[in-house]
Amino acid sequence: MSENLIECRGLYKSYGLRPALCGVDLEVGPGRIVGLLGPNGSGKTTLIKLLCGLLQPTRGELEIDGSAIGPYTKSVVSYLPDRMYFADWMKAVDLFDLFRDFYSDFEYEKAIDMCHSLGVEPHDRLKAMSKGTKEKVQLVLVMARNARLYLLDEPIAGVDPAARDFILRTILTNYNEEGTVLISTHLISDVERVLDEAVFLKEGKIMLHETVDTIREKEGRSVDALFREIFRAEPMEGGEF
Amino acid sequence: MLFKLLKYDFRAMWKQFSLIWGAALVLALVNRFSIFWDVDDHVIGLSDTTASGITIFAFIAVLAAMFVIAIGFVVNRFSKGLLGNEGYLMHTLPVRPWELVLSKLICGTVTWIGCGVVALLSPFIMAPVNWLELIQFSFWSEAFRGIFHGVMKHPGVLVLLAEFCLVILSLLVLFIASMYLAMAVGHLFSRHRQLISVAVFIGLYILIVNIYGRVFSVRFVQALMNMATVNVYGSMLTASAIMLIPAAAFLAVVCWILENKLNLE
Repeated sequence: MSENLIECRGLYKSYGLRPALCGVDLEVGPGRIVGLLGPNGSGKTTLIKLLCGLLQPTRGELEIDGSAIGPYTKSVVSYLPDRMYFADWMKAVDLFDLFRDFYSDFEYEKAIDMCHSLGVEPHDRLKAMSKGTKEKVQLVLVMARNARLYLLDEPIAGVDPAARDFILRTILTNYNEEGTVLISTHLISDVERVLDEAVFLKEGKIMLHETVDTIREKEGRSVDALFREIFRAEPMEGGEF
Repeated sequence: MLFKLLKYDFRAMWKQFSLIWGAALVLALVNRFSIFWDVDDHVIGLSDTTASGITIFAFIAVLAAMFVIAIGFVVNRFSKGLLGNEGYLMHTLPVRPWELVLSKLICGTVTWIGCGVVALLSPFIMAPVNWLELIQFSFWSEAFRGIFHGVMKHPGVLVLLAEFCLVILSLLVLFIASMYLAMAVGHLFSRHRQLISVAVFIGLYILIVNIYGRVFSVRFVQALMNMATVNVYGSMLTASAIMLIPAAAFLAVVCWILENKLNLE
């Protein structure tokens, strides 16, 4: 067993000639809630997809729990993608059956309970559900597992502030506390209060990786304020209106 | 894990085909009574009404739709299930890519076999047979006795039948493997994936024909073929092997692409 849950060394990924990640070195230990923070196109989703095995790195090494990406790492990773991934003909309970079959850490009863507390009828067809309800089902699938690593790709993007709180509360009250949660987002102020560590990504490179307490201590300001300074877009000068 | 994958692939197949297979068989039964009608106990009349014409048309339309849907099913289960949004679920399951591919392949093959069985069974249902006579025990006992004696006399018939089924199965596997490879190669490109997949599928067909043409023109291979196809048993086994070898190569390339070049952007 490795001391670190995630280890990336010289990770490089390009789409054609366009680099998405440029030599990322990252180590994340167990039992942490880590924010993967950066503006759109900074490489957050690419890094998460590499960790899931949905993309293959162009160069570099990547390990989860001491193993290269493969069936073992997939069995300990619980992934929430930024899109719907299930077939419409299924019911939520069909998906729960599928997860129970493939993941030994999936808790079926917990999933049913979570559905009821989130106001989702698990025996309804997914086709008949609204987009928001489908997102809840997907969240239930991810959080009903006692995974070692939760990879949550933009879980609060595109929803109103009340829903953001609701989603974050669901995550925080259901994750395996011995596991690590990696949340990618650019909505820093919403997640800052729950984070242990922050990783700033800019143009495929890690700009900063510190604990949230250290950032506040060193910089004397919030993670959100630091983020805004680092990623502040400079307006074009000399332009005429 | 393969059996677990098969469970879900077959469930998806059943959801899609139970209705159309049922419709085809029910329409065959309807045609039995709308085309052929009993005049008395042993005489069957032929109907030529508009209603019977409509039911025949509906039956043929359902059979045609069944095969079109079967092709679409095989394509969709692979392209959407492994290379599209559903791939986000399937590729994060703790399984190897070959298990995902094999599961889809088995399910696709069984789907087409199911369609073939329904298409073959329908004419029997439509045939003006007196079912009351047919379900009597004496008929079946005589029929089975006849078949049993025939098989005992010519046991090679069973081998031939099994080999014929293997040839059909090999042909299906080769066809599906070609489609999978075409889609997997199309996936390597960032644009015009569907167009490239169609072009690759046509290219694969031309490639296979050319390779076979060259390989079988070599004397050594011809001598081997002559030895292997000296009788009908060997001929059918050779035909199966000729189709299964490229199918296995295609599937190996598909698995390699999914393992090393997967790009669910």
